[in-house]
Amino acid sequence: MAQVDGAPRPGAALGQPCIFKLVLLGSGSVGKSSLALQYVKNDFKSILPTVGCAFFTKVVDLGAASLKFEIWDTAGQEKYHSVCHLYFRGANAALLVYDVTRKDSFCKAQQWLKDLEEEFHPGEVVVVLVGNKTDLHQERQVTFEEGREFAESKGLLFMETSAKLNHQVTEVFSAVARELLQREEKEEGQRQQGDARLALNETPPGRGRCCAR
Amino acid sequence: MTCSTSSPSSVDAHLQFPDSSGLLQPPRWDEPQRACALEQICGVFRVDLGHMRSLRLFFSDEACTSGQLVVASRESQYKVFHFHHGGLDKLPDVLQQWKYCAETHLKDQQVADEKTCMQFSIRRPKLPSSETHPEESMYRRLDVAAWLRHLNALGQVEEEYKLRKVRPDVPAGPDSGPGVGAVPTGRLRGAIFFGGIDVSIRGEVWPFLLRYYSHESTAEEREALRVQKRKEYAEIQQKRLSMTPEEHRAFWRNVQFTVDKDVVRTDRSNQFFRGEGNPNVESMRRILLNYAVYNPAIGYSQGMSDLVAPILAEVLDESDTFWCFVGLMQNTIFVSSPRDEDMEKQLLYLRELLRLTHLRFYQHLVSLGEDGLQMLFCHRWLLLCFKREFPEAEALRIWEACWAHYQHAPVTTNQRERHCGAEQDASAHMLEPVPARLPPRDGSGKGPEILLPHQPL
Repeated sequence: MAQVDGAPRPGAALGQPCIFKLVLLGSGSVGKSSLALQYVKNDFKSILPTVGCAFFTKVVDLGAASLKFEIWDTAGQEKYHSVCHLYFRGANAALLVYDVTRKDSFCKAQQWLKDLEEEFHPGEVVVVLVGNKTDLHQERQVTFEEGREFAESKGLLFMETSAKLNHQVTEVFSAVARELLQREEKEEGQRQQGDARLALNETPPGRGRCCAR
Repeated sequence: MTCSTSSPSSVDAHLQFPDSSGLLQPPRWDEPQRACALEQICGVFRVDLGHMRSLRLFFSDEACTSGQLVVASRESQYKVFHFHHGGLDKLPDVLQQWKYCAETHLKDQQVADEKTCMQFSIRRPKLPSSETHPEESMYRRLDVAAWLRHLNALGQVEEEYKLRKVRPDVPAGPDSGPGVGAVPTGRLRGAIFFGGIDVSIRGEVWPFLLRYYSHESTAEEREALRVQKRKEYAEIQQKRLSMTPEEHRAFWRNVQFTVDKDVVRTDRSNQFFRGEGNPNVESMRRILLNYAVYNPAIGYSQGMSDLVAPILAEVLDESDTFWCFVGLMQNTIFVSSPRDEDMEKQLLYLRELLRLTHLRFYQHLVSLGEDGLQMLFCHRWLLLCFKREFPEAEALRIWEACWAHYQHAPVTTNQRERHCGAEQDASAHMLEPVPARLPPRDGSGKGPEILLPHQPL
């Protein structure tokens, strides 16, 4: 939403953090909004079901570099699934969230991955598989191993979290941030290697942009 | 400046008053861990003015440069910022010039020469009279007395009442309306649109607005209808409870699972739904489940619990609420949403309205590219008719104003035909009241016409 080709943005100057769009996807009530709320506002509370999409921003400071996340928190109900491609268009990262106490939500996350694969080229978007609600360990239906294996087989990052206990929440987003910056640097490096490669690796429209560039 | 809860490491964290809505867990501002976390994330903070009551500056030195800034919420929660190394003196200038803020002078300070404390409170924005609707001041809130004057002896609702026509058998309330002899003295829709409905009679008036009761119905007929509808409601519920195991599995997966998750997190801060094991939450749940049986094509969409909860809290009776909800659903965008063209149409209207009335903002959206004009951030506003964008009392006023279908602006014949024809779908009326305060600036009257047909109450 913020990255525009051609239109100069006030305040976008050298030194401003890069903006990356991150979408939260997953079944209903797996904790997408709770993860966002915990991460952005350090709060955990009962949240109304998300209708449509909710938006957050957060600046991540990684020491040497910083970036700004535009977080698109989508509604999880199946009915809203069909409009979701509107939300993940142009995304740089996606968190596929499931509830470790609900096998069906894990299966659903895998389906989301298929949708993403249809929309994006391989490697175009950073995807993290997130198993949430580890605080409910007694009701667990999806083991850590299952999650990890699936993520590995698909080349996704993987983490388990508890939005309620604020366990590993910041870590998930930081991991995404680091991965995004690494990819950005790599692309930058390749870009500098010459015209031929430049053409091949050119950032697709609507994706990846350092305001500072 | 140094703020105890702030460091310049990052920006854009929100400083929100913990709203009382849906809080199962009380906010813990003073927890050391929390303060520490905030320290890391707060550089810039925002306060929701809707939740803010006052801003106070307490000076701790003679030069009035150090001290504390205290932000108070309406619920008397406080956020304190410490200025140990000066800078606090810069704030009064800013606040004094800020139009949303007014300095309030504290009584005990009038004697003292030196300032120790300054207080600012939030000024509610007031539209200049040139921007308000010309009829705005003509109406008062619909209170009990006014409502009774709209009911004739049989209990039928009359849109207009004229004082000289008041029947001797209808008791005249203490409020005899402005200007005896003025004709007409009261229009129901105008009163609801401009003044709202007194909370005490909402439960009685809403069923009319939601078309559960017709205006022509007599009190007697309404009682009969209630009995009849209660029976129908029981039958719907029976149908739900007598599903085959297979049907029930499908129903559970498509509807009940989500409803169960949602009702326990809808409007729980409202006194009516508060507390564990609250039977009203169970009523809300049954209404939504029964609705999905009654109208399987719509079933349940997230957001519907937001719509039903306030109705139940006002109408109280489960069956009556159900039928009011049925009426409401016929007039919302949920009818075929969220995937469809209805939403697209609404957003198209909204884009047009913006273009006509707030060109600069429209151009800003254009400059953001495709995503901007798609206005995804407005979906929820339209779906829930602003329920979550305003404090509840204000949101319900908006609802009532919408439901009143008050014709507020001249609609040219052309446009009226255009809109009344193709756009008869009632979801369109969601946007209807918006431009009441948007006068056509260029004299062409373009603004308001976009606004859709007005349907008789």
